[in-house]
Amino acid sequence: MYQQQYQQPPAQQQRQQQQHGGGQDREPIDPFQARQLYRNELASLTFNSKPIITSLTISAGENASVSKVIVQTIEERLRTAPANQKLPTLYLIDSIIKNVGGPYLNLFARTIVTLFLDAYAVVDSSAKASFEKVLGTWPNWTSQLFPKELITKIEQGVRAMRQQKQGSYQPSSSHGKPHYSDRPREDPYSQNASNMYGNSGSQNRPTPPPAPVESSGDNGLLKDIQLLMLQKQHAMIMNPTDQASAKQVGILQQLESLVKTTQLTPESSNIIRQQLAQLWTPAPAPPVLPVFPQGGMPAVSSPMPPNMIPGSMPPLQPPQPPSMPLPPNLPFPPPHFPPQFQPGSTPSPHMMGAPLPMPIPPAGIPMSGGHPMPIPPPSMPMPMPPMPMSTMPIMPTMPTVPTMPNAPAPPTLPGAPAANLFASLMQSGLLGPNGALAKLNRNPQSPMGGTPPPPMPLPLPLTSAPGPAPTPPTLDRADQSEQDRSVMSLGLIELSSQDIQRRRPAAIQVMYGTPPLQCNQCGYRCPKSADAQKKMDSHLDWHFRQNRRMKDKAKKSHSRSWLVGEEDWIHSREGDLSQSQQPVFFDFASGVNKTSKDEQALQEEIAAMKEQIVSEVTLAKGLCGDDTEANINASALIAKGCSICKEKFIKVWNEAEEEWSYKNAVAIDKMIYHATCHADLVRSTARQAAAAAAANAAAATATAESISTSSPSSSTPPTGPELSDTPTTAQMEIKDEDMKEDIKTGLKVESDQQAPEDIKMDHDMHPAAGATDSDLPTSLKRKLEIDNEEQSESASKKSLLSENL
Amino acid sequence: MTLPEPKEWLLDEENELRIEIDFDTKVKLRLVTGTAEVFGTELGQNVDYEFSGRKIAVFTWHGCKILITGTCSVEYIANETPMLSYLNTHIALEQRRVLATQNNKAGPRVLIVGPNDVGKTSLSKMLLSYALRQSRQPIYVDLDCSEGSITMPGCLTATPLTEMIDVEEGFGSSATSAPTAGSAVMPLAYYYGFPSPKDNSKLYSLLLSRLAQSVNRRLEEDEAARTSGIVIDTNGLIDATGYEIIAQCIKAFSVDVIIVLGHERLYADMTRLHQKSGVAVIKLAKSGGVVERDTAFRRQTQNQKIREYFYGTSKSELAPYSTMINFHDIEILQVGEGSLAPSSALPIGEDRKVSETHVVNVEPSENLLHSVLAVSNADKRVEPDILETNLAGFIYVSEIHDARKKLTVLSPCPGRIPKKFWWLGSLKWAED
Repeated sequence: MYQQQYQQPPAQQQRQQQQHGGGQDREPIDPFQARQLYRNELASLTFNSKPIITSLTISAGENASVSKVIVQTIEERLRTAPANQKLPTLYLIDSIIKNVGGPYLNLFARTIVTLFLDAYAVVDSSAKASFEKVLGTWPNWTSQLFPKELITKIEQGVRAMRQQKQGSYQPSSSHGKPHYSDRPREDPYSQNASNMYGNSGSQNRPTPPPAPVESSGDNGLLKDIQLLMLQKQHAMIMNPTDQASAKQVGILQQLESLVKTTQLTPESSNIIRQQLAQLWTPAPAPPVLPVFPQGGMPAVSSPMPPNMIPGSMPPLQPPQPPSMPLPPNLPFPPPHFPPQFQPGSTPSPHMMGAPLPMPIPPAGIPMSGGHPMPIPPPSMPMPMPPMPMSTMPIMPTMPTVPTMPNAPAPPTLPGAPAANLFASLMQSGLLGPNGALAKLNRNPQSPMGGTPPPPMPLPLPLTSAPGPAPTPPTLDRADQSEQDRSVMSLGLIELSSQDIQRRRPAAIQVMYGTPPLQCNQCGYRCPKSADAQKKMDSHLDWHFRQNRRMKDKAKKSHSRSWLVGEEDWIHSREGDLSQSQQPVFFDFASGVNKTSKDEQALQEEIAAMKEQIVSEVTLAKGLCGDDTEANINASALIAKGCSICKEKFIKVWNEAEEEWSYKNAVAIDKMIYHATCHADLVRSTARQAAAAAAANAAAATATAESISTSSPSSSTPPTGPELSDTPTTAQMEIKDEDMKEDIKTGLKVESDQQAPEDIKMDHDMHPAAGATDSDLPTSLKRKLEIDNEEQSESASKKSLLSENL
Repeated sequence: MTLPEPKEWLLDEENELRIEIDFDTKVKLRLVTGTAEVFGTELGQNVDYEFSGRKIAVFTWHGCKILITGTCSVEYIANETPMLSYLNTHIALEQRRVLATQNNKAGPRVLIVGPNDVGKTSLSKMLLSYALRQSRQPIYVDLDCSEGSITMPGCLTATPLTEMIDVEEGFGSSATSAPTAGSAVMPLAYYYGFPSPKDNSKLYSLLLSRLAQSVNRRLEEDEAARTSGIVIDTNGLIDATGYEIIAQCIKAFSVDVIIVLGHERLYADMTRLHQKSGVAVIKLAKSGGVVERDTAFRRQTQNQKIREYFYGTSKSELAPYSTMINFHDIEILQVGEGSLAPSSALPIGEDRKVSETHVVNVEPSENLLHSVLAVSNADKRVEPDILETNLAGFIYVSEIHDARKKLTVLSPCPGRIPKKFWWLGSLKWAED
């Protein structure tokens, strides 16, 4: 496949050669240009073409001084290319590291794990095989391409994904699966990380459906858990900041040990299994797991599972920027933070991100009938960088209202499958004060050496985030867009000079929310809403139109038009992007289809007409019509032929009627035509009428600010006082050169027109028409002009001139 | 072609890169990583923005890397900005908009006041830009007749905004058919014709009322604009006349938020004078990046503005048309000043103010050369209505043929010039 030969178009080769030449000539190479050039060249790599890959490889070799830019460009390409075009890009990387090496090895090494696995995750199975083949060549290459551990990491990732793929287990959707969770959703943090550093792709690509759980019994369940754990661990490796996965892994480990050590009833294992199903991606790893931000838990240093030590995370990821944007959809975090929750007091990201094993004794939290005391979270994480905010608890805003730990978790909370897991486990009695887990925890042999009491109530309050939130009383949230909500969730900011100065990190997030839709041509972000995609599409359409017009710029000059009048301004509305018309070519396409269909029908009709025979008697009747007196010699008329084309009619003997008949003949209005000729005439008349109607409609809508097509010139009629008395003289339009010689009307014309020739000269107006011109509303005036144009189009200029004379 | 080596700037979060670019140089700016915004408009990553004759602040909330190609006369990074308070102000306004939408009420009507050179226009731009980023459709009212952000200096304008404010072009170019990167806006402009409201305060206040009336009428119909509210940018006048104008504005536009920029006493006065009537008065610090623009710079900006009106920007060039007009086909008008008789010649007891809104004819002569004239939308000369008739556009007098009684003018678009009444102001422009 890789070696597949491809005949490259000569033009393309030439272009590439030019580019190479250019690359050599320029010293030093401008990174901007290099990027541009390489990107252009790369854009042609849409299929597996050895010549292009070779050429790109050579290009990379020649421009090693800008290797950084080239690597960035290739990475970008691999990330953004459609799934079916990723393989050639991988081949290119493969080719560069093997043939060029040098700086490229180190540069690619930084991101190859994520790059490879992200791409691998989305390509189809045949491409996957090719990916694996390429990967297979790396460890044993003559020189070391990448450090062993990187390749191992990729291999592990590939294996994990392969295992998942083999399964047919489908996450059940009947499960109150968060309905928005199947929308691909980027981890806000990872997205931002890629913004910041431009080198990491989105980490949470949808992975293939997870592994099956065919086997029943605890072994099957155990396997499920382990598989899921593997997947989550992979996600963690891919994205060390993925709090959700980290937490999930922690939970899964608990579950694993639970299942190992406990005899589960079939019901409980079913429930666990169902919950597990929800944890599987493809719903990409939820942005956050709102597990324990409350009740002092995170502050208590939690024992970390052995394989979850932060240090074991790949060092490839860039360090966390200290303050990260927060997702915009905060479900009403508190308006004001208690002072003790200021940034300084927050625990470290790793602390927050560390998986929290379930059986942690919630030290110091007294239990009262299963309801936790509403303890203000010590880690109000508003200014906390990696703590995604989308599931921030509402607790702090309502410190006096106890949350209800036993309330069923709202199933549609985005990104809370793990919380759901807990909720359901709890409901099933598996987890909870008297549940299996609780028992387990009391069991001295429990792996964690669990100490009572169980921490069960902790996750729950979080899942009730959209619950009794401190909604401003006037808000009707149903009507609010996500965006409005995020704005309001900041708490009403008082328009006072003091309140304005307060730092609200979440406010930045309102502006730079996580909507995944951002225009790459101008930075326009599409606010998150139901029709965001539509809006973005129309925004891109707008760019498309603008760009197309830009291209036309050379052909057509643009200018500023006159401003509208006051009334028009008051009543006009700026064109809303979303309402703007569809790109023209769609209409065009449908128009074409329509015409061709009509055309087809027409052809059939004509063919039928041609074969139709009419007897002489019928024709004679048609000629006379109701006028029985008329004595028209039908035979003579018929002999003359068609009145339109003058051709003779074809005479045939009609066997059935035993009379002479004529093919394709029709008698209309005392004339005989070919039926086809007449139909043609009717059609063309209709078309003209339609065109005229359209022109009228256009004229009616033409507004004053539309560019007048008249030529700006003024004329002085020294011998025409009746004209010079009216303002119309200034508006008299001079339309063609012939008029200049028109001495008889006494109009001395000076063509001071300096405008380019492409200005359409208006046609002449008759003096009478001109006199009324100024009194007419602009739209009518415009119509008049069009009418005049049409008139003069039908008549020749000469005849018009003679009329004037 | 060798491009100058691009310069790389690394900005920490909430830093601002301030650059000043001379009029005769061009500088390319590119955001490589991170996020950044220029006067509220977010920059696209890896998009080249070109500037000339501008003073620009590139602010980043998250940190970013910026490449600058070309020579700037001033370039430095500032880490102290009032952006946080600007953003909070926006959020507060946005919250009012949300509530307005829910309750079907009018959105915030914001008046920005302050002395000259405190960044009033920049703040307006930022607040509008932020609103636009939130899919609002605010109306921008520009009462700063010295600058002419939207059309030309000497005008009072109102402009509904619907699309993001272009980084390069500012508020976008009014009413072009040209493909611009930014939006083509349709302003409503009234011609004042003097650089300061003091020059003819009666006319100024007349036009102000008229503008407010039109805006209010539009707001009645335009729901999106009504809930989005308006942002009013004012002249830097803060003396007695200035206070009068502010008071008139508050009344005419039903202003409910006054932002005082960089002036403590003004803030105190505004609080004292207007807070009682349910108007929120806040003060914001002026940005350290705001520089005092000297007369030369203002003049150059004006020239650039005029040039752009006819010829567009380098990115979207426009083609103006040259036309020859007979003296007697047009009427050139002027308000007050030109006809002002010396006060000694006035009848006793006659107040000069009377003539402030008096319209007089100007005989075309060599004096008109290089003038920028405003074309009124009026069809008939009825006083005082003609004063309050909005503008159709501007023309530039490039030649006077005294002997032939003709003048050659540059018109923004082909076709005859639609109206015959032209205003003469103090605007002159030497086309280069």
